[in-house]
Amino acid sequence: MCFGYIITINDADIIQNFNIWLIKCWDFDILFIINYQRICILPSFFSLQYQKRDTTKWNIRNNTEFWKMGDAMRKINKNWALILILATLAALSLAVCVYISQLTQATDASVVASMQELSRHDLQNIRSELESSWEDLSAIYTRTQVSKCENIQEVCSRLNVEQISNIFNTVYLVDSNGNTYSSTNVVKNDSDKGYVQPLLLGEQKVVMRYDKVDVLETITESLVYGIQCEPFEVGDIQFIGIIGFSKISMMEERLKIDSFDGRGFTGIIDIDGNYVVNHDRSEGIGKIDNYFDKLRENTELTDNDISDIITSLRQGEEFLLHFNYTDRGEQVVSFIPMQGTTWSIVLTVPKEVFSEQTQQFVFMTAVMLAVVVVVLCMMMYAVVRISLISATAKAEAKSRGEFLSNMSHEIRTPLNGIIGLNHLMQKNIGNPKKLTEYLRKSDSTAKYLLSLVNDILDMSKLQANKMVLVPKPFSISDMVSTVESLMRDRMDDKGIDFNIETNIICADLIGDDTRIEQILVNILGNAVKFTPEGGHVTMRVFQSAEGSSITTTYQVEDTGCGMSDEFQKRIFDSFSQEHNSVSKGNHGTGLGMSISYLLAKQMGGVLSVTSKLGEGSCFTFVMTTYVSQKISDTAEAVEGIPSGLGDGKRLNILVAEDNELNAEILLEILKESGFLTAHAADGGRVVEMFEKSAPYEFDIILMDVQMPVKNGFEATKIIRSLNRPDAQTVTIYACTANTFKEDQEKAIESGMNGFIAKPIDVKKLMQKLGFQQ
Amino acid sequence: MKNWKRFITAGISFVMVLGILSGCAPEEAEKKQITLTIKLPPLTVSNHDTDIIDSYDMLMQAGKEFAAQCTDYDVTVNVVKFAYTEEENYITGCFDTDKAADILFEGYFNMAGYIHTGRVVPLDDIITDEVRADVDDSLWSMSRVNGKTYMLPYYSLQNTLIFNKDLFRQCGLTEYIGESNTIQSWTTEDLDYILSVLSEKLPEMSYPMMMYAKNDQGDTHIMTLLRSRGSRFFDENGRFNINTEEGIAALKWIADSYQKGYYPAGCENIEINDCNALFTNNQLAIHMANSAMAVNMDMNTTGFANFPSMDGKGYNTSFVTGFEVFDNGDADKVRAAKDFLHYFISNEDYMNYAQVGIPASKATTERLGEYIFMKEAYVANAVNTVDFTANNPNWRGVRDVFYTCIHELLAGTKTPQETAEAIDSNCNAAIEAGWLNSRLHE
Repeated sequence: MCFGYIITINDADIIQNFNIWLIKCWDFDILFIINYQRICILPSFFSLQYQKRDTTKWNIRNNTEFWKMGDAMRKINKNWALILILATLAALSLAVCVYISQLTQATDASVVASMQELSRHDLQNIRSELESSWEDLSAIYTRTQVSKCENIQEVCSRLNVEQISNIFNTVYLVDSNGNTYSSTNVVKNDSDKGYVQPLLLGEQKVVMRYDKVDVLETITESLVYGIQCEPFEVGDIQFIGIIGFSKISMMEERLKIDSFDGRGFTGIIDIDGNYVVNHDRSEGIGKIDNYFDKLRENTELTDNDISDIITSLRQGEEFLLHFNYTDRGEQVVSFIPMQGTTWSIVLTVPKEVFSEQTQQFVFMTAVMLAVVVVVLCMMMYAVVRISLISATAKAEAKSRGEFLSNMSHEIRTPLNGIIGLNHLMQKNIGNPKKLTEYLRKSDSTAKYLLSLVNDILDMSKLQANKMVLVPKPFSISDMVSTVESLMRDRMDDKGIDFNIETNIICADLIGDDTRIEQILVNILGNAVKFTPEGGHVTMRVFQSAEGSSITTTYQVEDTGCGMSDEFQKRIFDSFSQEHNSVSKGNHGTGLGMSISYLLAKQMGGVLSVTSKLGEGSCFTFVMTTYVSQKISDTAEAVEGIPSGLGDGKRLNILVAEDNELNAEILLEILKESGFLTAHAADGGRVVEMFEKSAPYEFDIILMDVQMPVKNGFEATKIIRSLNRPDAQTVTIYACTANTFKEDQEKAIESGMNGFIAKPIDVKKLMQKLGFQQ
Repeated sequence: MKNWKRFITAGISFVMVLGILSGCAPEEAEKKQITLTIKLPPLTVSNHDTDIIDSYDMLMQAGKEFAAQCTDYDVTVNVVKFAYTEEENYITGCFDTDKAADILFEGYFNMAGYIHTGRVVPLDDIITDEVRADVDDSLWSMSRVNGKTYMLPYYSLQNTLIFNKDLFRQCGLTEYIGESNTIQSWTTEDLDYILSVLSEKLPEMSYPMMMYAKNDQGDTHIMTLLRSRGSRFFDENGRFNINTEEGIAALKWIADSYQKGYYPAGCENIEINDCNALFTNNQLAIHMANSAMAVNMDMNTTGFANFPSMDGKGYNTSFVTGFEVFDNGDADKVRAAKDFLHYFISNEDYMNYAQVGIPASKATTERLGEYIFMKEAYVANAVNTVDFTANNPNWRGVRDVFYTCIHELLAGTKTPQETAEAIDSNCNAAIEAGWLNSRLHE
C-alpha cells in the first residue's frame, strides 16, 4: 500500500510551490521533491531535519542545512542507486540464468518427447503399412487359391490381374521347393533368395529390402513382403506362400513427415545398419548407405560403441544418443526397434533445433515481459502524471486561495485608509491644516496601493515564470549613480549616513539594469525604512573577474532594527513582514523582498541576508554577467531625446479618454500645467477631431487604449494613415492601465510614440511632456 | 605510472606489428566455391583398361580429377543416379532448387525435350573445330536446334531384336539364326513364320516374342514395330502418322499376334524389365537389346536381328547418349559445367568408356575398334537406322501417352483403328504442346 500527501516547503531557498510528496511504502518513506521537470527521490530517513508542523505541512528549518543535507543525500543516493542497480542486475541475471536453465531442460525434454512421439508415429505408420501389405498379399493368395487354376499359366495370369489392383509391382507365388511363379510369367528357382528362404524355413512373415542391381539398366529398389499361407496345389506343385515386390518409394512416402521444420528426418535401418529407407537420396538409385559405416566415417564412435548400439537394438531397446558429426555437427538420434522385424526407426534431429526451441521460448518470454513492463511503466507514468497534475492543481488552487486572501487583506487596508481619509476630509473641509494632513496621508496611501498593485503584478509574473528579462549593455557606474540619486534624498531626509563603496573593475556589463536597480532600490528602501535617524547605510559594489564574465556583489548593510532568526527564514516569502517594536510603523507591501529574491534568482544570481536583531542587516546580491563593449554616451543621449517641437510654443494636447472622471482629472492637470487641451470621448471621436483640425494644430495625443467605437490602437493606425502633413509627426502616447510589456510593444507597433502608465504619475507625465516644451 | 604507460605503449606497438605482419602475409585470394551436380540414369559403360562399367563411377572419378586440376575455383562434383521411371522427379522436379542438375548424361531421346525448357545452354563455345570434325555430322545434326548445339554426343547404341538361339534351335528355326556377331534381317513374313513356329513348339510358360505396355519404358521398340507394315511413322512435319493403312496394319498385326499367343500372357500389364527377366530365364525367344545390355549376355545363345520391315532389310534405332548443361541461374556454375565437359572430352581415358557402344568420336572408334562390341555389324547396320523422335520437343509428353494406347490395344479395349487414331491424336497433341511451350536458351 502506498499513500502520499503534498507538503509545502516554506523556505526562501526553495522556489515556492515546490511540491513535495511523502510516499510511504511499507516502512520505507520516499520524499519526492518535484519541480517542473525534475523529480528528486530521497529516502525519507535522510531528510531528518524537517519538522512536522501539522498533518499536511512540513517546514524545513534551515536553508543551508537543507542544501548540505541535499548534497549528502545526493551522494548517498547515488551510492544507494548504484548498489540497488547492481543488486537488481545481479538478481535479474541469476533469475535469467535459472529461468533459461529450467527452460532449456523443459524444452529439451519437450523436443525429446516430440522425437519419441514422432518415432512412434512413424513406427505405427510403418507397422500399419507392413500389416496392410501382408494382408493384401494374403488376400491375393487366397483369391488365387479359390480361383481353382488348372495350370501354372492360369496361376500367373491370375497374379497378373491381381497386381493391377494393388501396390505390388510383381507378385510371386512360392512353392514348397522354392520355385517362384510371377505375375509376369517368370518361373524360376529362387530358393537361394533371401526373401524365399525364410518362408521355406517356416517363418510366417518376411519383409526386407531387395535391390536388383545385376543389370545396370534394369536396377530396381524394392521392398519385398512375404507371407506363408495355407498350402494349395496346382498339378503337382504345392504353393506355400506369396511374395510381393513394391517400390521402396512407397515406404518413403509414409515417412515423409515434416518434423522440426523439415530438419528432423526419419530413416529405417536393418540390424546390420543397411538403410531400408534413407532420407538422403542425393546419390540416387542403387547407392544404399550403411548407417553404421556412416557413423564410423563421420563421428568418433568406435566399433565397440557401434556394437553396443547393435546389441541394444537386438534387445529391442528404445534409446536416445547424441552424435557429433564432422560434417553436420551435433545430432540427437532416437532409435526405436520395430518388433517382429529386424528394422529400427532412426529419427535424427540437429542439436541446434533444441537450442532454437529454447531461444524461441526465451525470445517470446522476453517479448512478453517487455510488453508487460512497458504497459506497467506506461500505467505508472499515467498514474504519476495524473497524480502530479491533480496535486499541482490542488496546490495551485490552494495558492490562489491564499493569494486572494492576502490580496483582499492587503488591498482593503489602504482602501480603508483612503475611504476613511475622504470621510475625514469631508468632515474637516473647513480646517485647512487637518485637510492638508489628510490629503498628504491619502496621497501616501494611494501611492502605497499603486506600489502594491505593481508589486503584485511583478510577483504574479515571476511566479508564473513569465517575467521577461531584457538583458542589454549597461554601465554599472551609471546604475549605481542612479540608485544613489534615487535614494540620497530619502536618506538625507531621515538623517541617515548613506555611503557608497565601489570597487568596479569593469563598468560595462550585459544585464537587465532596470531589474537590478529594482532589487537595489527595494533593499535600500527597506534599509531606509528600518534604520533609525543617525544610522548608517552602506552600499558596497565590488567585482571579481572570471574569464570573460564578471561577478558583481552588491551589498547593502544597515544599522537598522535587524531581524529575528525566524523572520530571516521567511523574509523572502510573499507578504512576510516582521511586526515588532522596532519595525512598527514601517509599512510595506511585504512583496519587495520576495520579488527581489525571485528576480535575483531569475537573473542567475543569489540574494541572501544576514541580520542580528537590534544591530542591523546585511543583504548580499551576487550575480555573474558578461562584459559588454563600452557604452556610447551619445547613444544614451539619443535614446533620451524625445520627438516633438522645440520652438517654445504652448503644446496643444488632444486627450482621448472615455472615462469622464479620468478625462476630467487629466485635462485639469494639463491645463493647470499650462497646456492647451481638447477632449475626445472615444476612439472614433479622436480620429474625427484630428481630421478636422488644422495641420499641426495638435502637438500630442494622449490616447487611451480601451475606448468605445475604436480602440486606441485602431485610432492611432487611422490617424497615421491620414493624408495630411502632421499625420506621421504628431506625437501619440498610449495612456493606459495595461502596462505589460506586450501592451507597450503593441502600442509601438500601432504607431504610437510612447507609453504612459495609469495611474498617471503626474511628475513623470510632466517630465515626458516637459521635454516637448 | 610511467611503467603503465610503457606497458600500454608496448602492447599497442605489439598489436600494430602483428596487424601489419598479418596484413602483409601472402594470402591467396578466396576462390569461388562451386558444386556441380551431374545426373544420369543407370547407364553401362565399358573400358578395356578398367573394371568400371557403371557410368556413375566413371563420372565420379572424372569429377574428382576435374576438381583436382581446377585452379580458377574450388569445385565439388556430385553425381546422382536416378531410375528411368523417376526421371521427372530428378530433373524437372528439381528445377529451381539446390538439387537441380547442372549436367545431364543420358539418351538424347529424353534429353532433347529439356532443350525446349530454355534451361539447356548451347555448347558451341566448347566445341572446337577438331572436336566438330571428329564427330559424324548426323550426330551433330541430332544435337542441334535452330543451328545451336545443345547436346554433346558421347556414344550411340543400336537397338535391335535379340533372340535365344537355343530356343530357335529347339524349335527348328536354325536357318534364321545366322552367323555369330551378325545382325539378321527378317521380313514380316519371316517373323510371322518364326513366331508361329515358336508359339507352336515352345514349352509351356515360354513365349515367342516380347511385348509390354505397363509403362513407357521400352516404348521406342514398340514404335519401331509399328513400321513393320510399311508405315513411315511420321509425316513430313514430324507429326505422328499412324492412322494409315500401314500403321493400322501394324497395330492389327500386334493385336493378332497377342491373340495367337506370340506374347507373354498379360503383356499389357508387364514392362520391358519383365521381358528381360523372361528372356534371361529362357522363357522368351525374341526380345530386344543394344550393345550395353548385350555385353552381359551369353553370346553363344544370343543372336541379333533387325526389327522387321516389308523389304526385309529391317529397322534398328540408335540411342545417342551424351551430355547437356543446364543454366540454373549461376553463370559460374554454367562455366564450370562446360569446363568439366571440355575436360571430359579432352581426356582420352574418359573417351575410352564410350566403347560400350559406337563412340561419337571417330578417333576413339578408330582407336578402340577391337574392343567395341560387334562394331562392324553395328556400323554396317547403321543404314537401317530409323529416326524415332524426329527431334520433337516434348518426347516426354509423347511417351506419357503412347504406351497407354498400346496398353488399350493389348487389353482389347481399343481396335487397331481406334488405337491408330488415339496415337496420332494424343502424341501429336503432346508435340504441339511442346512446340507451343518451346523456349530456347539464348
